[in-house]
Amino acid sequence: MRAARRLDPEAFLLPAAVAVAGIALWHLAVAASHSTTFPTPLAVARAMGELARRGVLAPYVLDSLRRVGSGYLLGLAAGIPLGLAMGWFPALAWAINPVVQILRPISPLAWIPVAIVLWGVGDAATIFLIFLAALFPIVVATANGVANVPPMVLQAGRNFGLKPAAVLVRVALPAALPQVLVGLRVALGISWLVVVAAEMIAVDSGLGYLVIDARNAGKRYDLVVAAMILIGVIGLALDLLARRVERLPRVRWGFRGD
Amino acid sequence: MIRSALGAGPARIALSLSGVAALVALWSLGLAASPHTLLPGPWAVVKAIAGLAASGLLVHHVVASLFRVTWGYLAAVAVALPAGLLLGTYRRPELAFGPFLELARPISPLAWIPLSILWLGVGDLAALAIIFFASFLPLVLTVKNAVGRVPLVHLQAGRNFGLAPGELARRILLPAILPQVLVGLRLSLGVAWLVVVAAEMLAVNSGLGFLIIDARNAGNRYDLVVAGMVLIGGVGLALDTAILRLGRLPAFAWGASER
Repeated sequence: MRAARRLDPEAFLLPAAVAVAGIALWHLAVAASHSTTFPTPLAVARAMGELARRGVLAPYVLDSLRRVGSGYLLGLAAGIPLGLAMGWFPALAWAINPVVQILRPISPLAWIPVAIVLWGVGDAATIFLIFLAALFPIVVATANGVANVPPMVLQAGRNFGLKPAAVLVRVALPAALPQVLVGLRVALGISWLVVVAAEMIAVDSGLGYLVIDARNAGKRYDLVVAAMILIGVIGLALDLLARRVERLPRVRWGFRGD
Repeated sequence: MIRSALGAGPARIALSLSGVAALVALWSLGLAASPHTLLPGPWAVVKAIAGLAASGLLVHHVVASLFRVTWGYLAAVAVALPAGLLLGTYRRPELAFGPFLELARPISPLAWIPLSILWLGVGDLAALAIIFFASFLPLVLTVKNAVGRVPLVHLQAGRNFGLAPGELARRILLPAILPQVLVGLRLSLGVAWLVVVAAEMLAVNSGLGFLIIDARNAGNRYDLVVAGMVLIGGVGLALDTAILRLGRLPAFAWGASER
């Protein structure tokens, strides 16, 4: 299916036509409405160049990525062991699951004021928010993944004489991996959504800050749209990266059980 | 969630309660030990919620948030289902528009806030548009991909029984994609609830998101902030449970056993 598509000229021509039509329509709509606030496509391209020239493009992108990376890795480091333990010991799940279910639906953005009190305005508060955003999807996906491993698979592992710890690491974890990876991808998407919002409120750098600052300081909507495009492209790259990991042959075997 | 087959024995109930009790105890102790004087204890939050309920603000804010999520979300569902079916069924529209949907989806819906305020003004419409975007894009992609994965044999069998295209969609396609669509519906409702809180912090002056940011800005009333967080968690949990229940209705269940 994929290989066939690549040879198909329509697969390239149709989106290209839509892109050209969309950009033309955008330009004409701005021109026809004589809007002075909303930018034309050309103005957005120029704004992108201006950001690069001013030397803020790379630092802002890196700031956002650094915050997402740190918070997400912390969420991973805490969420995977916790989820494994909850999936493995039912008693632990009974004790912790209600707490997780209470905290999980609290929007990470609702933590913003508390995060600022705890950590002050700055990176630490943002990273804490992303940690929270990533933690709960990872814990729930890991715990469910491990709890749903077919008992037969685990018994087979025991029959081969594996110790309990080895059954967990060598049988349960690989079997749960596909479900865990889906949780990781969802968590990454939410982290990217949250960092933009957190940067609008809690810090003074990054792409979210660029969006809100460009609007507040002189209604520079060309910069706003340029920042949106950057946010979209980087979010897409992160998503593709996560999907690539899901397709690695090493992590694929659990899928067959589906 | 985690294996309900084990039943609700007394040991399980005791453990669940002890987990929540430990959380509250940890909260109080952490507060007593920390240098932060602004943060409220559990009891102050209970009193704040009671105060909000007594003044009628509780219902006011919860209804305002639910109003925005409901209409933004339902509008997104109403557009995303047919659009996803169309894109999943016909090759050319999918080729033409698919890449742009994929590109637009990872734009954080909150990045649309300045534009939606510019176009729609400060108010409910701007918030609704943001929630619409936040739920529409994941949903339309879920439906599209689910349609793409329906086994061709099922469709051909339907055609052999002489079903017209409309009937084919209703009696074969829709039931077959339902389980995946329900997962998408649940995920996007969660995102919509997350986004409404942020949108209310920036674009309107009612709702639970506004309650939180207003309580902080007007006099550092952190008891109200945490009360708002508890309410957000409670309503979010209720929404999630409601949509899970919907997925367990017998009418929706058959496709799930197939997978």
